[in-house]
Amino acid sequence: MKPALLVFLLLLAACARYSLVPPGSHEIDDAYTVQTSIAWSETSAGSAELWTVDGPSLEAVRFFAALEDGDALFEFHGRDNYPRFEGRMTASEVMEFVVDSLALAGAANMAATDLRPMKFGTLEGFRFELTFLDADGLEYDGLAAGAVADERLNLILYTGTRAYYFPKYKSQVERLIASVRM
Amino acid sequence: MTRRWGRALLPLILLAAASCVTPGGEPGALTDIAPGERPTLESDEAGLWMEVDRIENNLKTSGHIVRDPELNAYVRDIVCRLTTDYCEDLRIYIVQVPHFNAAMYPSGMMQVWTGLLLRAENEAQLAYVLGHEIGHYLRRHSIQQWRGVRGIADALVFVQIVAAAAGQGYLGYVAQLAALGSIFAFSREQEREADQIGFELMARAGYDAGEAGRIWEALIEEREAADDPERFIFFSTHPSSEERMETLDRLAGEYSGQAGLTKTNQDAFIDATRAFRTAWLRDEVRKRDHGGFQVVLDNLIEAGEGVGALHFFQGEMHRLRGDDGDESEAVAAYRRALEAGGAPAETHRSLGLLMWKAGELGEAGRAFEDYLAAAPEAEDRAMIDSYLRQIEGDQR
Ligand SMILES: [Zn+2]
Repeated sequence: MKPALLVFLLLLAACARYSLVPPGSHEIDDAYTVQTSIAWSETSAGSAELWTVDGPSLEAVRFFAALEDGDALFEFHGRDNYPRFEGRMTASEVMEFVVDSLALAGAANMAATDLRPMKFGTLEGFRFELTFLDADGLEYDGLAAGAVADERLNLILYTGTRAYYFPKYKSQVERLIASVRM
Repeated sequence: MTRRWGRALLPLILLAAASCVTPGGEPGALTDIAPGERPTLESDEAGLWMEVDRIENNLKTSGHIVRDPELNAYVRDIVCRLTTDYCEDLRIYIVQVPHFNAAMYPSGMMQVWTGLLLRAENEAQLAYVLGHEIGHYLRRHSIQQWRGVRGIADALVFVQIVAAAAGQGYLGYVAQLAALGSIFAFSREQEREADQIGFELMARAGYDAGEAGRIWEALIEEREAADDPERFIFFSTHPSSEERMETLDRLAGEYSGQAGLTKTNQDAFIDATRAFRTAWLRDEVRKRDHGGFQVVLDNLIEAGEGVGALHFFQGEMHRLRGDDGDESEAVAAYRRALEAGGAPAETHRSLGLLMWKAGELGEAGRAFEDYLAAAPEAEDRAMIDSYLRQIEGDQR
């Protein structure tokens, strides 16, 4: 038996600790700042800073800052093999990295669409959209915006249930992305 | 007993589990399950069935269930030809998980994972694995195991905890079975029995018994090459041993003597699975278990179906591994894919990305243009156009 496995299952059920993000300017790990006009609850989730209003399984914005060679998007406990960021990745490969990470983390029927160039702060970046099902068959939408500079990845990933929560905060998230300053 | 209570007991159960992995002798044999039989409400089996039913109810709504009616009908038809009497009692779920596995629960829930459908070369190989699982079911091996290891009451708590893992995506299913397997793995005797029954069912349905050893051999080969052999979920519930291949060879010898057992139904199998193969191969790539995937691809290429796409995925494996020499291996694989025909348009894109990084701007530009020509509606068209502009700028 691998006790680590069951402990992991148990930990997944445990509650994360949240703190309040008031409206205003917020620095993400010394890498970039964003402006929000609404309040969010903040917690850390693996290498990301996670913001949510109604709960991360309903809607969540994940901010990744300065991921380096070998970093993962999520924590894959007990696994040796998982998608890792590489400093020389093109936008296409970053999208593959995000999609494959989400799929390995449990998303089904992953599809990424409309990969296109977009500024991330002052950087030449990219943007794409996502659809997937969670393990319970619930439909989700997502979007991602980011840029690789100096072989480091900055990324904002927003996911939420298609039926209500994703559209509810989508315009707020669009404003967050547009507000990025390096 | 609630699920919450089961969770609270976890540390105790871990201790209990650690102290009881080796069952003391063979558990008492039970009579075979009869068609249509369910345990009576007052029996210890009934509680366990209820928990397993809960796992099944979670599975029913899962995003990982393959709902395609034709593929489901195809697999169901094989099962029903193998075991006419029990056909009604078995509920088959095709689950999109990139691991070789089929699992038969004592309640009649049968899971067939897409990793098995990808790896089987023909219907006879699939029929052997399904027949083997049915063998465990008929002989009630899991109930025997659960009684023998710890008593049904403790088993129940354990299964409840395992059921709680269902919400974590397909790795949750892998974790479920790994956890079950770590405590309730079938014994060697039970494995022999299941193989015996599997062969009988296969032979009765007219399949070529020699195929059983072939899929088993391929699986062992994959495990040996895998970057993470511990993740071989099928082996965790069905322990393999040196003598396993001998048993299979002996059984194949016994049955191959019988006339008329030549059916592999390779064409029917390929027709039924062709439309799904690209998605299943993509799932394998996502695991990043490059060593194991290489063996799977080599075996599929040898089988000869859809070779263009297989070479493309070989290229993807090398591109994503990125060790010394992988870049040129990837380029060679993409070129083989394009030569063989039937490769996806993405082959050009992947080739373009590699060429661009290697500084081969002319080749990269041509590959990206070929990609857009092959996939004019590509979702990443705007980005590829921007690559082409950058390349053009760099070439000046
Ligand atoms: Zn077995």
